[in-house]
Amino acid sequence: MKYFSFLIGFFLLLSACNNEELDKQGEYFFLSNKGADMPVWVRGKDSANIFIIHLHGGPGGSSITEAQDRVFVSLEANYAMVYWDQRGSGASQGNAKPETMNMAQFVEDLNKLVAVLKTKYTNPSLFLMGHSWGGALGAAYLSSSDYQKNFKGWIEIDGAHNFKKGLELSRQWAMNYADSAIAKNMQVAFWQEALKWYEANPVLDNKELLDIHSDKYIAKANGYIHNPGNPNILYFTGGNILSPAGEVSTGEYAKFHLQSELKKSYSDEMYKITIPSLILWGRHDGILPVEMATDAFTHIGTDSIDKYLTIFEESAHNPPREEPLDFMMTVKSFIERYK
Amino acid sequence: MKFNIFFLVLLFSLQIVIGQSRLPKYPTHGISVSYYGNLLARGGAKVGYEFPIWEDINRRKTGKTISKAIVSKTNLGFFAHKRHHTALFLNSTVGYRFTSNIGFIVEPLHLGTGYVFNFLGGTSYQVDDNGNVKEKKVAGNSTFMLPYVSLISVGFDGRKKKLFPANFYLGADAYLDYPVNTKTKLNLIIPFGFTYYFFLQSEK
Repeated sequence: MKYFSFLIGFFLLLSACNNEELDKQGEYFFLSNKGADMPVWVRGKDSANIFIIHLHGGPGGSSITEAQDRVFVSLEANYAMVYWDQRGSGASQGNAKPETMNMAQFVEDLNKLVAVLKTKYTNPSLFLMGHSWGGALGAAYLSSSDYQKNFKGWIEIDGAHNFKKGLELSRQWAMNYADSAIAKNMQVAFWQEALKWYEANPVLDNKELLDIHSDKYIAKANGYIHNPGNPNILYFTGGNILSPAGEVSTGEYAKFHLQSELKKSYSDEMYKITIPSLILWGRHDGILPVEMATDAFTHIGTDSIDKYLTIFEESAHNPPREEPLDFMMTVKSFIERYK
Repeated sequence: MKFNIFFLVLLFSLQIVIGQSRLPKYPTHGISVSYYGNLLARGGAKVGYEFPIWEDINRRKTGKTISKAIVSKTNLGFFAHKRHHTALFLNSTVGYRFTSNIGFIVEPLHLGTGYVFNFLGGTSYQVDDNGNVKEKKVAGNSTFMLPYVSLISVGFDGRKKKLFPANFYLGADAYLDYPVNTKTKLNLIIPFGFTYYFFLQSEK
């Protein structure tokens, strides 16, 4: 019976693929550059000739996995979404060496992806959308050279364009949460221990401390997902083992080698960004608190009539998942205006 | 990398030299064909050649005979993960085989190594420094199976009771792909198939 249950479970795992139709859709190709073979999945209405390049978070995340999210599938009704897994991340293959794991190389990779899209499609309208670490990459790319001329618009979602400042705010956010929890008599011992830990670690400057901060305290304080009980929330369904997302790495390699990049700030470079910009942030983001939205909005050099700031009141670090409908409508309205 | 190639050549050479030192009394050289599933579902196939480096048949007081052998196997095969990659590989293992009186086979822990070329599951583009885009002709990357381990294999050998000159088996294999982002990546394999045995011309 035990073995029968195991077999049933295994085949359910194989078939737990409400996304199997999605897996067959769109065009799937690779960008090969400096040791890395990076997957690119273009899905949706490419006949509209409007392409949104999605920059995943992490570092070490996966757009190929996020491509399963219904909010992006919804955007595909009107536009083509371009899901790209960065080197050393997600479903990327090859042998990306540590010396290539830096922002300059990621910017070069993105620029080459743009070149491929411009070759494959005729005069495409391109938009760039970056979430979390993808916000840092997008800011670095758009403020480099004249690369922003490739894009009609920039969408930053809870981005890490200044992770150093964001982390200081995040540390304070966690301590405020701890004070508030203790005052409400909630898990007092846990949050007292947290306060002691933060006092002993005034600067979170290495991966070990960052992991404790994010995984133990920020996650516990609902700083990633504001309301886990929200019935409308979208969780990753992931890919089954037959899907392209079925072989996604843990991201530890990218996370490890990009630690020094996380200490950089692009705030002071963002005045160079002058294309239409949409800044989207979750009110309750604990890892990159909402003050960072204002930081992005004020530093971007775009004329004030062409830049927008939207705060999602029921979201933490991931508005596309916590408020998918509002997120989709906001993005769609921006793209329709500037396509 | 140099060590991998050296190890691979040494393993193949040893099998040829040692394998020639004993001549079996019944067909022991075999050609195998099997399904080769990465995580079972990412399907593939392999063909292989095997022979015993050493074999001992032990008759017990009960009249039953068991056989023990050190077996060498060399395989060529592939498996495909759609839209990800198709792995084409050559590997070689050596390990112990126990065959019971009625032909039940157990092979624990065969060790070896191999080479893999991973063809990408789609067209790959390269862009030069001037922004010119071109398709990569052979898109993929090389890795080594370092090590390749057949964790366990069980089956039935028809030679034991002179039923048929073949065996059927089901196994569980694992290997570490190296280098993948300068590190190793674990692969789990379920192979099942059969081996047909024959006499070499020199043994008849």
